[in-house]
Amino acid sequence: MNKNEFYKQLMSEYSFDAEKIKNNARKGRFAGHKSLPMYIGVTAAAAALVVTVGTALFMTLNRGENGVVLRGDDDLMSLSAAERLRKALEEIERNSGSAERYDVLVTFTAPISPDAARQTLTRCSEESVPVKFVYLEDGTKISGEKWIEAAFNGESKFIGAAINCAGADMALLQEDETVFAVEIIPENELDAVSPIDTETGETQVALPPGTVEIDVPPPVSIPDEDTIDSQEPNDTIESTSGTVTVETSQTESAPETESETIAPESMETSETIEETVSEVITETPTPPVTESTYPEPNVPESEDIPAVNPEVDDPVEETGLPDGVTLPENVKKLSYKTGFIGAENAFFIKDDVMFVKTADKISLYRFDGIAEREIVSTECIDAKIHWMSESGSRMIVSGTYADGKRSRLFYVNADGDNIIDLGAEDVVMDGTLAGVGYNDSTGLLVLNVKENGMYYVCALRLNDNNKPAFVSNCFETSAKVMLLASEGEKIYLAAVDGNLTQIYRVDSSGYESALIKTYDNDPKLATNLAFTHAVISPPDGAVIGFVEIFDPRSESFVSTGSFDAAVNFGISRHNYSDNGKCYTINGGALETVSGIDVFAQIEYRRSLSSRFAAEAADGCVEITDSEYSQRVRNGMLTFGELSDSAEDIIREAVNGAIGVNNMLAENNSAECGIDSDEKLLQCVKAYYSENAAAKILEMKDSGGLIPISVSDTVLTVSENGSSAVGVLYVRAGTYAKKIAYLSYNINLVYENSSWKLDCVIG
Amino acid sequence: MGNPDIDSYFDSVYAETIASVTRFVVSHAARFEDAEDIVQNVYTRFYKRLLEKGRDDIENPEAFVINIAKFECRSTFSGFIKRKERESTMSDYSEEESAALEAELSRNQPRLEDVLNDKILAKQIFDDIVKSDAVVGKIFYLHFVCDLKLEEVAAKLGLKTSTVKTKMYRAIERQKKKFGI
Repeated sequence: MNKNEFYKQLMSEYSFDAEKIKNNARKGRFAGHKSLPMYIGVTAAAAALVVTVGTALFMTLNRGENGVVLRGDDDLMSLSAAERLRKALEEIERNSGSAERYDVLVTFTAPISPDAARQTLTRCSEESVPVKFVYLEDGTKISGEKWIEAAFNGESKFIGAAINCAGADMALLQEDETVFAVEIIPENELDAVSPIDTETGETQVALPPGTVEIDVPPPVSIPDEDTIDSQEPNDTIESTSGTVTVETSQTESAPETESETIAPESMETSETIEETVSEVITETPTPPVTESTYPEPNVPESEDIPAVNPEVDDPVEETGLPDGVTLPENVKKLSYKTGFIGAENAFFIKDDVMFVKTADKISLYRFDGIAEREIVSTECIDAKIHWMSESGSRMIVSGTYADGKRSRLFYVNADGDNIIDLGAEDVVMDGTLAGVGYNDSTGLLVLNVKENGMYYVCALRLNDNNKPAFVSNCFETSAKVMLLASEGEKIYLAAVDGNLTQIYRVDSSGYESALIKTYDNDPKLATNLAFTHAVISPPDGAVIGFVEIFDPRSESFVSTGSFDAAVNFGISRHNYSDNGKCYTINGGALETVSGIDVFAQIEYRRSLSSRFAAEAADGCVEITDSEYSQRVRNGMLTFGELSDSAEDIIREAVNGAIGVNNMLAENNSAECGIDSDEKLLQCVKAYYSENAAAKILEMKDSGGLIPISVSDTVLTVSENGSSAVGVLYVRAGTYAKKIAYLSYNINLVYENSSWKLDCVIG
Repeated sequence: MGNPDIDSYFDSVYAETIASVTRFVVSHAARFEDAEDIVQNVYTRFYKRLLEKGRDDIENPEAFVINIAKFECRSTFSGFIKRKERESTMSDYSEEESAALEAELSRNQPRLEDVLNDKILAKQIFDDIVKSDAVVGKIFYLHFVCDLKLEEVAAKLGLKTSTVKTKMYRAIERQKKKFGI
């Protein structure tokens, strides 16, 4: 046998017990989780605060079932301070140059601050240093990565720490003037050992009475076959690491207290941020524009507009409408209400398809102008939209299971009339989705998964069939993570730790990452639905700083020049609105833009159908006409408040012409009381000149007429006695909080003692 | 317990994938010592998933299991540590020294069989490999068990080939002195 064969056999035999793994899997049993020490060190320092954690060797905890620490007679704690120090120095000597790693207990000469402890402990390595326990001045022993992190971010002084380092590094530590002793801790004593009492010169025999031991994992061990087999088939033997355990009777209520006081502030702060972001990004509907805020132009209300009736309208009496004819001055608008479907939110995502969210379901409905029909639906509790395509017809929505854990993800595709379960639970597993982003250009789906106090950013790729394939776990930290944007294969995210917010660029492969900007004022963060830009705003009450927009294409932070800019991207990739003005981000700079299509992307919940608009009300959906009709998109819009400037006599003539126009456009002359061609012609000629009458009758047959409500119009005209020219403005809707009108040039002539329209509207 | 169809399917997938899964886990786990636990969890999750949801939607079981393995590996927090290691450089062995060590690896040594039969000694040697350094165990497993060339091992671990060689050769030399093999 040569060494190649020797090592092959050795490694094969001792690395994995394949049969045991298979049997355990079939019994539904997991391996025990190892205790997770906090890592501090250079990588963490580069991130300014500790954000790196890592695993360490599992330490068999020498504990009884009741959690009482059991100690042997000849362990480290049985030695005097002098004996321990002598032993420690011998071990340092013996291990000089050794790469073998040990768990060591560092006793500080005097209580030192967390920062000083960090500096001392990282002396021993250019890489991260796993910290298993820290011992505070008041006797508290802290374990568990999040509590250790909290301790390093806190103010309590340390008297010692248990770390894992190479034997050769012990000498480096011992050289530090803040270090009293560096001792190798035998595996079975790690849990029981405590720092040397440097004041009394004696070792602390045990933890002081009343000492609170925080988050020491319960007595779990690596599951060998025997221990596993003693479990119930469905039991897992996962540790409850991450919880607070209290070992003394007087601190029974300590878990909550400790949790509140020791947990990093950042967790609470970040939670607030996340809620804010979620609200801003995905759930905030476009605020309704009230008429009191944006007053109607000074147009006559419908009831104030004179009826188009020759019997009361002097100007047309001579030519005369036939008896019994009433023209439709206002167009009947769509107002449809579905039955109760439990709708909490609804909006059209394409011309005739609306997305409906209920408490426990998401659905697509098709509406044909007469009735709605459910196309597809799926169970999805507490749905939250994370991404939408610029066309609006595709979206990614997350939901929870009944237990409240957000781990479901759906691809809603109105183009294909389907909702696809992306099977996110296979990636999220025991965690919960804290954020989702999707890069439509590359198919990169980014999941921010929170599990056991850690955040994991996972990159997946949606293939042509919209099935996700795992790419990598590209970032992980104990700091709060928020996804910001993606460009190409690059993912941008923020790690939020207290007031400190750090923006990172991470490659989807997980092999590269870089810190690109740091904020230390706890800014508010938001990202757009297209996952192409992020908005960083100064915190409430800040006296300096502007709202910035992160542009991943130029990797720059573009200042809006405003400290309170209300940036709203809607589903646009690069355009946004801010207090009624629209901008686009181009090459790291802002440019003003306008146009109804820009507004449509921003006001996506009203605009994705050119036919209908939907709104949930009392569990039903109310459907009305869309203000983003093709007519509006293709027409010339005039924004602002307008008022009528036409004389009454001309206004009445125009109203009559609109009535004729509507009757012909909607082909309802019979309903208006017209029962012959002669009457129809007489009716038209009552309000239109000879030329215009011929033209409008021709257009009636070709279907080119546009129905208009008189109540929506504003008329501005100038006349010279025999003719008049002007503009008829027809209210189209409210866009980006501004009222807009479609405008039509009109001409009138004075014939037979009355004004008549000498053109066809539109 | 279980469903005979699922059990049969699981056994079949297990047999087909255990090698690739262990190779993947060893490559991606932060520490070699975590690998067995990770593999355990991968297959436990897979089996539970089969019981809960069946197997109809699993087109490629190997890809599916590897996907679970990716999830499990992430809990070993490999990100920062791997990147840091990737940046580290170590002094190379000369070509002559490398050749000599390679030759030694191929040289027949009857005593090695005795060592393997001595379970206590063999375990000590194994522990020495996996506990001496965070990645040496991985290198040994991928090279000797998975038959990957050192260049391939380096690529999988994101290390320089020279670093992989150095780590492996140093471990072998240390074991030669420490255990007389």
